[in-house]
Amino acid sequence: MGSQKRIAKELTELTESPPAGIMVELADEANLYEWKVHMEGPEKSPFHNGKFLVKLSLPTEYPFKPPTVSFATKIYHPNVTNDDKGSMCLGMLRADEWKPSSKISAVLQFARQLLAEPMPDDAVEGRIAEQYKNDRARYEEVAREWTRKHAC
Amino acid sequence: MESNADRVECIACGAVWLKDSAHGLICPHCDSEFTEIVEIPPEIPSDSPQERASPTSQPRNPWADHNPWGIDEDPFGTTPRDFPSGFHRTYRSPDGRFTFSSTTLGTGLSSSPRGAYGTNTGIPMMMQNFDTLFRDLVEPPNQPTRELGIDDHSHPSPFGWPDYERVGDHPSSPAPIPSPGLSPRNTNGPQPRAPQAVNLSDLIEAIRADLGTPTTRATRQNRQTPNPLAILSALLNMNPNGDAVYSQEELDRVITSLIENTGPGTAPPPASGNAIRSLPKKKVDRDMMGPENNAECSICMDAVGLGTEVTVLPCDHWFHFSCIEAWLTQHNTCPHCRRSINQRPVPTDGTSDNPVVIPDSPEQPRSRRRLSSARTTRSGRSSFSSLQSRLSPRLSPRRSPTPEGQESTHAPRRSSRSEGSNGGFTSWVMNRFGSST
Repeated sequence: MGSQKRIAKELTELTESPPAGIMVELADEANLYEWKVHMEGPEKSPFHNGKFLVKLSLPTEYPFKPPTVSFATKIYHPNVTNDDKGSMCLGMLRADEWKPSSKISAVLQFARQLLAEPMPDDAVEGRIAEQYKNDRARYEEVAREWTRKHAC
Repeated sequence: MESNADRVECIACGAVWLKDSAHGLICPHCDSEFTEIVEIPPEIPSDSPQERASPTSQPRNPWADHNPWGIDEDPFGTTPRDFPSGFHRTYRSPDGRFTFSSTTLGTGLSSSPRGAYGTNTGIPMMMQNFDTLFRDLVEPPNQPTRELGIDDHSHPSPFGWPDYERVGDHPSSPAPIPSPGLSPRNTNGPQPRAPQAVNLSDLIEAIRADLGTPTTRATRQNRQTPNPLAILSALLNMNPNGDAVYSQEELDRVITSLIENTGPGTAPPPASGNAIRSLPKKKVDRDMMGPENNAECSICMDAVGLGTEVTVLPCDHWFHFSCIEAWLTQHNTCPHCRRSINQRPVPTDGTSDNPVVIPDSPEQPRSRRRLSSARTTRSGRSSFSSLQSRLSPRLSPRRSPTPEGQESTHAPRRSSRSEGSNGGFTSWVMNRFGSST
């Protein structure tokens, strides 16, 4: 299958030259479609020093369908659902915005960038987004607290 | 007028007395204040309330020791006024919101019940059918929920309908559970008590069971207090693919499936097979290689060497035919710049390579992708999407040499789209269907 070849290639690239703060591995060596991503909270963000486990799932139609990104580690963020799924809302991962030429590496770097710069207008957690916009200090305080509690 | 005076009925013990009497609203019998004022239909004979007003232990049955079968021997006594041999039945929902009652009058002729029944009174056949249907729904055969005045089913009715309450034959009524209403039909008869332990939920349950919804009787009986609304909702939602929903869960389900079904609708439609096959092919030449003298198909990410045949889209991006075919059968846009493949280059300059395009976008696909990654990394999605939109054919049909201008024309769209979108799903619905707030 063409997708497996491309996925294997991307995995090799990501393993050999990982982007800053990102480390990938397969959740199960026999399954190329489920990845475990270890993501460090970006500096100058309330998630700094936190280590977040991110699950990346690739559809069998990859790269023609987008991967999905979800946080297994609890995180206080406007763009990550605060439930057991921890789904991350990424515009580039929406079915109608996805392009096959986007690489997993770009997806993951974008996800990490989103930790540093949330996009409250595209939030999935409206309450956190409101707080991010109106009471940034409190938002960072809670996010730091959650990071300390769940991601360290 | 005395006959129209309201009566008061004690809910606790069943006694009935005139409201005007000295007792007021307190039961003279058991001193209970749990009483109800009962309105009397105007046609009630004036002696009836009087009788009822007397606080006897059986205040409601003046026919208690009257045997209709004994006196009504005239086989031709066909007048409907022969009420003692009539049957009266009332179904009343516990909340009193609807009442169904039927009165059938007959001669009590046991030798030819059907004939007497059918020919004498006219009305009853339909009533009988309806009543039977109704009762069968309400009361499964082995579920003795009624507490009617007749003792049991072994007491044979002369008409062979054992479940009918015999108005005139109440010699051994058990302690009555008073019904909060009167039945106006048989004015001389005592007030029949409504069948007990029948409520709307049971009725709906029974109807639902008859309609074939897999509800076992055990479940029905185990359910202590079924919520009528829930049952109604379940009843109305029997077809899971129906258009009407009556619960939040169902509404959510419908909206979710709508999103799932229409979501990809905003994505570009598939390209036609002809359009895909007619795309020009060419062999990779040195101009198409990147600065490091390498190139790859950005779908499969395999390196592409010199001389490999690739398919070139109108936007000048190229891919393996098999790779781009797989994408184009889903969306008719370039997987890289999202420009439609149906949008032919401006023909003014003549060549199929479209020289208008090339000077404005000198990068090879490879290096342009790098640019996109770099921008993504540096400043997040906003620049990523603005890059996308700058390259997007929907917003910039021709590549503009001034990307900043494109970005500014694009800006209002983004902000308007973002305005109400902080609520996620809810705001999607509100944006979509409007909101009254």
